[in-house]
Amino acid sequence: MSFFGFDPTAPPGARPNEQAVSHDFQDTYDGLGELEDGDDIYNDETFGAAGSVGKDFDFGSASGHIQPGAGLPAPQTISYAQAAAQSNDDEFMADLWGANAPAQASSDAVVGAVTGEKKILSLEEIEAQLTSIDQQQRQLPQQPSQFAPPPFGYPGMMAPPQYGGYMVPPGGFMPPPPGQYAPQFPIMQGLPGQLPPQLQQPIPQHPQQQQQPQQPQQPQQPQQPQQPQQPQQPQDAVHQKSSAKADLSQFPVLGSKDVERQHQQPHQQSSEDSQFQSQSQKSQQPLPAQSQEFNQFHRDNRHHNHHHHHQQQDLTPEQQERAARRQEKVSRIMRYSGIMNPKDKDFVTRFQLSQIVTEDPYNEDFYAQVYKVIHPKNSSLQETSQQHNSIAQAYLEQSGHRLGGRYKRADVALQRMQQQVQKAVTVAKERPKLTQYAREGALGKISFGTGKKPRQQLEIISKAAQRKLEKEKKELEGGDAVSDELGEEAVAKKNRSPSISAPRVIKKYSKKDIMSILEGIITELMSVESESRTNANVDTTQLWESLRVLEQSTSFGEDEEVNPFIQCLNFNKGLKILSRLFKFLSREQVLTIVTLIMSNLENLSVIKNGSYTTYETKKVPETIVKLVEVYSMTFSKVLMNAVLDFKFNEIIGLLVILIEHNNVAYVSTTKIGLTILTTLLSRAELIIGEGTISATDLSEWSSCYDELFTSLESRIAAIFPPHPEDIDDGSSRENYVWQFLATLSLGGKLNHQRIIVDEVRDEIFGVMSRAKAIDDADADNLYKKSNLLNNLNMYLVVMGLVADETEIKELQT
Amino acid sequence: MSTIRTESQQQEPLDLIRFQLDEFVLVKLRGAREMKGRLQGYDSHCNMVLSEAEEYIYSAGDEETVVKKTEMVFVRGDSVILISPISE
Amino acid sequence: MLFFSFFKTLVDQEVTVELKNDIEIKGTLKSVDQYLNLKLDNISCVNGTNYPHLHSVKNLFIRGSTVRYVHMSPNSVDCTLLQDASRRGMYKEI
Repeated sequence: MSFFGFDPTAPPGARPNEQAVSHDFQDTYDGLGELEDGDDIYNDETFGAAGSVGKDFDFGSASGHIQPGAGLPAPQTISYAQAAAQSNDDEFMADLWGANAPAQASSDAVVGAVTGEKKILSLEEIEAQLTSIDQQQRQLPQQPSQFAPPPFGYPGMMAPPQYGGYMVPPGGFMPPPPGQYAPQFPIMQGLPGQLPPQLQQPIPQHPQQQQQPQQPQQPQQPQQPQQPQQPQQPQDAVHQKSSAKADLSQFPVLGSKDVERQHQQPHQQSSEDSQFQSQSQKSQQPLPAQSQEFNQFHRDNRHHNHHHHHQQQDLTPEQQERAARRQEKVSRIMRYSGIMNPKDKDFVTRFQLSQIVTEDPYNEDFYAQVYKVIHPKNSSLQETSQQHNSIAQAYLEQSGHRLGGRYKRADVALQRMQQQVQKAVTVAKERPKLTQYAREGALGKISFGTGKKPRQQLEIISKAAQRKLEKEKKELEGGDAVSDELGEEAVAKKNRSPSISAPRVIKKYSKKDIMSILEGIITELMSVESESRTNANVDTTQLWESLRVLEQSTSFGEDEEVNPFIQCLNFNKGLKILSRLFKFLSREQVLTIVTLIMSNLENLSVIKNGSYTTYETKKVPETIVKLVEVYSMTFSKVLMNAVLDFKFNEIIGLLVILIEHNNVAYVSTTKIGLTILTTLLSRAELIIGEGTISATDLSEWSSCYDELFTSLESRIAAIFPPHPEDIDDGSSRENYVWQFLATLSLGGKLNHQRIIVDEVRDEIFGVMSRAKAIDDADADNLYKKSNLLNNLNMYLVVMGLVADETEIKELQT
Repeated sequence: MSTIRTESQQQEPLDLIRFQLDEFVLVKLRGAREMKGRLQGYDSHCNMVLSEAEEYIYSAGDEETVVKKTEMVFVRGDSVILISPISE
Repeated sequence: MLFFSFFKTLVDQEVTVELKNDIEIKGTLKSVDQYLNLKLDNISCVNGTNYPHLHSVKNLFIRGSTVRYVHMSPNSVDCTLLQDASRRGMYKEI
């Protein structure tokens, strides 16, 4: 509760030390803990009259008075030094003495605690304390007269800045008065009321208002339940309720000094009183603002009590009974009200404030802010908000979110592939020699073809699977039964592998490990992205290291774990960040990654599990199909862009690595594998079409192509899944298989093209008959017919042919 | 973003949930319910958004378990008992 | 604050709120606060036969703590963004 640097619970003696110190929120909290320790038990003494606040205390009207002058900014507008200068804490002292007087032991304890904790008291203060103890002892019998006049306190309370500063925490939602007063009530009830006779004495003596100051009852009221006079206590409550509002309005709102002077008059009535006054004034002059403010509350409270006493004699028995019931209710309500001390409340308040106030509203609202920019149609205020939304804009620019924020379009990788292949085809057609040969050969082959031969049953398995089989075979047959050609090849390659001689630290990764690595990558990526918003030259070393591309970089060896980055590519989120990731990598780093992928194709689950050949049903399961789709949207697109930057010999190198490290025939039965081959081949052919390739490079290319073709030969038909509608039901303009064949034919010589046509002849006719099967009257599906034929013709035009649903003709140019 | 931690730092329980972002989780909920789905978002209260989700409502008697499919759902954290990674 | 932010982007969209007492209310989300209290317009009770007292109600305020699920259209959620925002949320100091 003590937002502004004072401790309402500390005994008065402790306060002078804090004089004129300006506190900030943090200081307040820190200091508070120490100050309060051990002093809480004196709250009742300090706060005397709190108990009779009752449940009807009128906070509303009080704050109504105060709010205009003391809104939220109040704390800043008055310094504590200023507040202290204005203060007059006589009443506070008087009150304390009055309360302490009956209990000598506790007053001693107060002093003890005070001196123990605050050793740096000024001489004046010590003197005042000693005097006060003296006074208490001496004045015990006259105690009633020591009480300060209620109006005295009231104007002080009204002084807007202090009140506001005290009352209203920055958040403006805490009602401090109940918090301040409530806790004391039950505690005070526990105290022995030692002044029953005195309590009642002054009442008849001072029926008038101006005499109320001398009435002693207020602080002791809470003690009354334990006293013989119990019936009178309920009356207090009644009176408090009935009179509080009216009385408040009667009191003038006054500046503290003048009012104080006016109200000091009553004190003069007794010499002891005035003596005490001067002493307490003297000792309290240096009190900090906090205690003054506290006093104001205190006075206010006491003031109400005076009225009750004033009026309580007029009560009828029924009223008293009603008041008693009310009082009982109040005490029941108040029973647990002391359960939190001000420190607790302060903590809770701070916590609540921290949830409301945020340092960084943009980051807090990150999702909504960026969402508005990405999806403008959903936000009517988008135009204006976008102006200010630099974070969102930066996020989009730097992260290349999705497909480019608001300008996103269905930029599917395969469409770009289509374009690339088409471009390659166009370039190729401009070479008349090739066209001539192609037309001749292709026509001849097709015209002589008769009948359909059944699809060859091919055993195509990946090298990884093959190694596994070999291993099992070895174990079965005792070691050296590796007789088949492919097995020897694999062994030979294994020996070529550079990592074979390296010290082997086999590291197994669980799925959780991979997830951890992936999230680590994403974390680094996000931090690089955020840094790049302010700094053009971001250090990406950490990001690169987090990828672990150079860890276990080969795919060979039966026991060796696959590189973790490759394993990351089996998960959606690993694929989705690729385009964001590649933005921050150098060309060499991208080439390294692509090389790693090419040598590990069979370790990608999209390849490993993506071939229909490995399934009894000859169908790829749904989960893999979904992953393949994600690849098409992410990986294929990224690869396409990366390949654009690669040099001709680098592309040849990638193809060589792919052929060496993987079973091409198997890879070609997967959609992603075929797409990757198409990407590399078509890019190479486009570069060749530019005509700037050296003779050495060209011969390298042709030997690379030969190697590729050899590994595919006699298995080309297998790239078509047994259910052609799986890959092309005519609804889309892409067919990755025909695209691949077009690209492969482009790069090959006449004999290559012949072999290809021969092998896929059935598929060509199959498409034609499927197109024919679509009824011309079926307008809804007519587009499928043309799609099917267009996709087929993408391949056929390479050889200068064109097909419709009934026949294959020479392309008319 | 300046407060991003390095990988070496101690993992917290919520990190395990972070690992499952964009992956499938099984969420056990109060009221004999479970929800499987792809985790799209979460906060420290275990509020979550799941896509491609299936809710299972178990009943004590012979009645069959009710399965409800939902494409995108926000699950309020105070119903959550546990979150577990699953493979689809 | 992530889901406060999240629900703000769903304002004016149709959502189905399932409460912890099994009532399912479909309606247009009109507003949300940081406690994820929700205000719905044009509501209809999905399993309304069991709760006839909601028949005449056109709009309502739902206290956030009574919500079990909120179903929404997948088209109105940007998953990548939401995932990134979740990661950011974990790194932000309180």
